Amino acid sequence: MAISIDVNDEMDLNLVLEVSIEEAGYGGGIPCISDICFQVRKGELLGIIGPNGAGKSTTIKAILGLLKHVKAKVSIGGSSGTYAYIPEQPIFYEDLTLWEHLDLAAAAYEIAYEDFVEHAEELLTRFGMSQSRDLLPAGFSKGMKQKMMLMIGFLAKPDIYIVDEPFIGLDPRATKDFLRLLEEERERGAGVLMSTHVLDTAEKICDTFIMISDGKMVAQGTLEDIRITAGQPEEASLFECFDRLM
Amino acid sequence: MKSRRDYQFRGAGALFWRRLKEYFRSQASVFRSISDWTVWLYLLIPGVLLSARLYYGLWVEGLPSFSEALPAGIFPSLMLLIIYRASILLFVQEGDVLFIRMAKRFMSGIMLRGAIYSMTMIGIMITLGFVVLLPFLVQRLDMSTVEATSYLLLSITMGWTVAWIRHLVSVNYIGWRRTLLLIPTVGAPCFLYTQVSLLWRAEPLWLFVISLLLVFTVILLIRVRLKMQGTFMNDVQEDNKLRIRFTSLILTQAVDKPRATRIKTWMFRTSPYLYRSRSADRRLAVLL
Repeated sequence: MAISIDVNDEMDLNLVLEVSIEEAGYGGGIPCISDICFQVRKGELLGIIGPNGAGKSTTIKAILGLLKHVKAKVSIGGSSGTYAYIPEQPIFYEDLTLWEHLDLAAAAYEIAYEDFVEHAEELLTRFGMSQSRDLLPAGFSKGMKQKMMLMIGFLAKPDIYIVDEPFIGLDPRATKDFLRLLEEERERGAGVLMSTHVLDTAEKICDTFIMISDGKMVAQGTLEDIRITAGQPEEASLFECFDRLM
Repeated sequence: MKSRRDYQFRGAGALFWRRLKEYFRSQASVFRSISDWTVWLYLLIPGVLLSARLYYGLWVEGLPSFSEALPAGIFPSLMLLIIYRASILLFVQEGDVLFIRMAKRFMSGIMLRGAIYSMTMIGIMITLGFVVLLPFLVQRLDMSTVEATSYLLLSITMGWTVAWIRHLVSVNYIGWRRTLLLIPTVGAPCFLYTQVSLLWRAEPLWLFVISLLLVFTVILLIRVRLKMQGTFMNDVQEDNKLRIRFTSLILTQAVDKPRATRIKTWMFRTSPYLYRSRSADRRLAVLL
């Protein structure tokens, strides 16, 4: 089994992510997902939709190179070839404060220190976390932890955002801030790959979709394409298409 | 707040030291949770003095009479007990998935430092064990200084090799495959160590040559490790297992071992009804 994750200079200039997963799984000889191929263009928001256990998170793990048993090719394009991963469950270092998390992330992304301080302060204010900058995240609420994940992601200004179920735990204000920041990043040219269950929001914000069921891609494209695949009329919602296809 | 002009974690070194300090702090807190230093001082100081006296006695007053009856194979077997426990802690954490993994210089820097730390600890543990056995090796087996040094080198390099093999198998395989693979991959070097110890104990040149070969093997294994992809989740799991080894040892007597999560039942995998009747009492009887 092999995975190749390239920062590809020869990719189509408009592409920021190109994924071709032949098969991937957690071992034991049985692949959890197979034949999943898609591309994310600059400024595009692609939603991965599917029921629980369909293979959305496995797809993301395969893209990130977290699975041992993977046969896939993943190419990251863009100007810097960087990505930011925002996980479904907040992950953090128990002994680092919020500010230290941001400090470490910025150092890893090799951002100039002055730029980091300015951007980090702006993010702290935007997400209402200025008061918590020197606190350890173990004491944060679920929403605050999720905000911290978003801040770390946005700090990097990467070419592609890989976001797993971002709306869980966020209050409406934070959701709005998140979507606004995401929109700004898309205007900058960043692509977004987002796995979500929140279909009504996904319908409003995603440009394209891939639908996964039982580890396989069952539909791909714009909402119109999904409607055609699902055999649904023009006014059908994403939920109705989902209901039909899954 | 102290104003800064540069990153707190400029490179992998700063981050590694932070993790190492945190690791020591957590181990110390586990140790403190079971012992009171005042009581320990009453045990520790007399214990150290008594052990030092006993050890001194082994050198100047000769070995106890039972040592004459000990077979030569007992000494490599005792060293194997320490070698077998050798393990590699890479200081990889779950949070690294967010951004550290992408920064290759951070990730490989931390892993390399973790490797050096682990190998240093293995070296210290094996040397300590060796020093304890040294009076027996010198007086019972008539080892010279060169022979003892070459034997210590062989033990340390074998400890490193076993630790790296175990680590590589553990992060690459899961379940019964891992257990099955560990038996020959760890068993063979241990067997080799015992045989070499018995056959070439008095041939320091051979022991030096084998130690050198083992050093090359370890360098090769480290290179393989640093190039390895797709094992991040297993790396984190292995590291966590090693970090809590001391805690789990202490808690062994206090709490029951947590049961492994099973997704299938041992029997009746299709939830069958045992009775023809579907009445409430029969259904309840089946469940009970």
